[in-house]
Amino acid sequence: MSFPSRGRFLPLARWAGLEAYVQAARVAIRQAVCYPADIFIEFISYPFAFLGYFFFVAALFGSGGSVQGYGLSTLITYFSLGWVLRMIVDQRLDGNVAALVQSGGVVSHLVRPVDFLHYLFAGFVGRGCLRFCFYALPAILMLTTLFGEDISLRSGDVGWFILYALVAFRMAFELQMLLGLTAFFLTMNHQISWTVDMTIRLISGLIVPLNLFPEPLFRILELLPFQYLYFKPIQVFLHPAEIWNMLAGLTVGMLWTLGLALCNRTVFRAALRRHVIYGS
Amino acid sequence: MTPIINAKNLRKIYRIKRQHPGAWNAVKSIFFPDYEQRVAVDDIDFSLDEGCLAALVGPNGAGKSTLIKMLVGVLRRDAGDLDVMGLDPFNHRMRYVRNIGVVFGQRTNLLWDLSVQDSFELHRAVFGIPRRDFLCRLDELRALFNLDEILRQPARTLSLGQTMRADVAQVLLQQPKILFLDEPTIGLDVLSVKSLIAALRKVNSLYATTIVVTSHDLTVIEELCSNVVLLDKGRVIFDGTVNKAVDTYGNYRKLRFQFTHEQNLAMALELIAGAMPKMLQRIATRRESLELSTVLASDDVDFARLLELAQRLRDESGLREFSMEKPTLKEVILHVFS
Ligand SMILES: Nc1ncnc2c1ncn2[C@@H]1O[C@H](COP(=O)(O)OP(=O)(O)O)[C@@H](O)[C@H]1O
Ligand SMILES: [Mg+2]
Repeated sequence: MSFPSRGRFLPLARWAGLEAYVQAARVAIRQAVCYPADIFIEFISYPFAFLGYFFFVAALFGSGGSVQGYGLSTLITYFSLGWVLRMIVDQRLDGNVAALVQSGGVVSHLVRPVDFLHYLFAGFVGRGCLRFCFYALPAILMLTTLFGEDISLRSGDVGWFILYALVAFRMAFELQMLLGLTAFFLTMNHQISWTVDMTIRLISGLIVPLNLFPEPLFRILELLPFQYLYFKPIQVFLHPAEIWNMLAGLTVGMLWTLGLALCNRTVFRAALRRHVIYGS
Repeated sequence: MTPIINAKNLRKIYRIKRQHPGAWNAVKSIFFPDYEQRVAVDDIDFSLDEGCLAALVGPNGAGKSTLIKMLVGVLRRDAGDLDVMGLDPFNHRMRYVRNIGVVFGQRTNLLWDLSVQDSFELHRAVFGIPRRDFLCRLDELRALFNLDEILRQPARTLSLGQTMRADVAQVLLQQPKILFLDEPTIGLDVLSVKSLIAALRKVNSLYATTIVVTSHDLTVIEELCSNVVLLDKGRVIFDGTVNKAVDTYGNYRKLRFQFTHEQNLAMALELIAGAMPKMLQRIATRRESLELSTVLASDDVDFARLLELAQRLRDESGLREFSMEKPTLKEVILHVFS
């Protein structure tokens, strides 16, 4: 029997010492596609969450007019991008990590010579790629067919948007991870997860563009990292600023993400020192 | 030989949140949790030599799993020293786990939805095993653990016995110096247990892998291990070779007499009472099988008199069979814990 050397990029990854993580990403993808029904159902459930906005916005601004610079086309583009980003990053990793902690399954990770957090991020990247192909691309296709004339995907802004989106991707991972790791300390349940997720959706600009909030609230939210999940990337796309401003914004987003990553590392280390592995 | 595992005054205390009945108490405990301390591993000293097949034995709750978790580096000890292959398992975990293999009987490390082969492939990458070594080793393990029939099967479709075989084979891919197995035979049928034991013995002799198993199944221990560490309520009550355990605690012999007719039993008892009164104290009569059985302290075994007695029993009261046996490890352990 043969064990073929699989994957074209593996030699490169091996050379860089990243083979384990590349394999982890591949495995995450293969595991996800074992449940095609889940993928399909999740895909068709997004329109329920978003399409209402589109009709609402169309009803309000269909005959022209705007609020604070948001007209029909801007809002449709805003929510389309939010939708697509959400589809990629909303992996509910927090629930998976909490289940690993509560069932004691985390022990399987701890007896292997890989970094637990990096390993889970590799899986997150794998699923992210899968979601990009199976969710985001079809969604973009669908949205441009439905609202073709109102969505403007000018090529000049896409580069910056992608950079910001990458930061958002990593930040989404760190936030879900942080929430999942609290299971070491609290008995996590769906309710906490749901409430936190709901709040983050609101203060990250997924539901309402942040600058439509009352001014004082907007000022506060601007001091928090959550805007980098949706609001900032979409803003960069809609209203590209001076290059230095965009660079500065990106740097701040990266620093926030780095801070969260360090926080997760500390929390995880503390959890291992203070907490026990359940089961057996 | 220098020990490969060295534990000194090892200690682990769990904090358990007490749960009181009733909804009010449940709400109260959110704000005022009531903790209780449970000493799971209590000042343990022991050492194991390289290449040995050792068992951690004890009743449920003795602290076996807790000890294994500390030995594999996933649980921090509260006190004491632990040295395995010159490393501190918890503090050097990443470096340490490269050289060990760990399987918990209650949980599989295989990828649930993917084939065993896919799990092995991921495992190879995670442990950075060069492909050539991997294929070589896999070839050997395929024969040892009978893997051909299951390599292409998704883990979720394997039987318990197959899962355990695949799990153990997987962690042997990285050629570990020590293999830790926590209750590896739990839920397995007799045949699966037998084949697992045979495979483990071969692994031990072929690769000189040190094997540490915990089990509450004494048959496994008896057939597999050369060393035992007996644990009770978090303490070590014995640490040494199986032979030494049997010599230390098994200083008695089991005697069995079988007769041809039921009427013979009463007469035999009388004869025994006259010849060796000490034997009578713990004698058990089983009428259905026409048997008398008893135990005798090793020091009280006097061959000449025993043979003489047997002869008289044969001539006068129809003795058909007579046997004297050393206790097995299993009996010794049951004896210690009862
Ligand atoms: N995570 C835990 N939290 C609190 N107590 C525990 C925990 N795990 C085990 N214990 C307690 O520690 C003792 C030893 O358990 P364990 O090591 O699992 O025993 P064994 O494996 O020998 O059956 C038991 O009394 C058990 O109730
Ligand atoms: Mg146990």
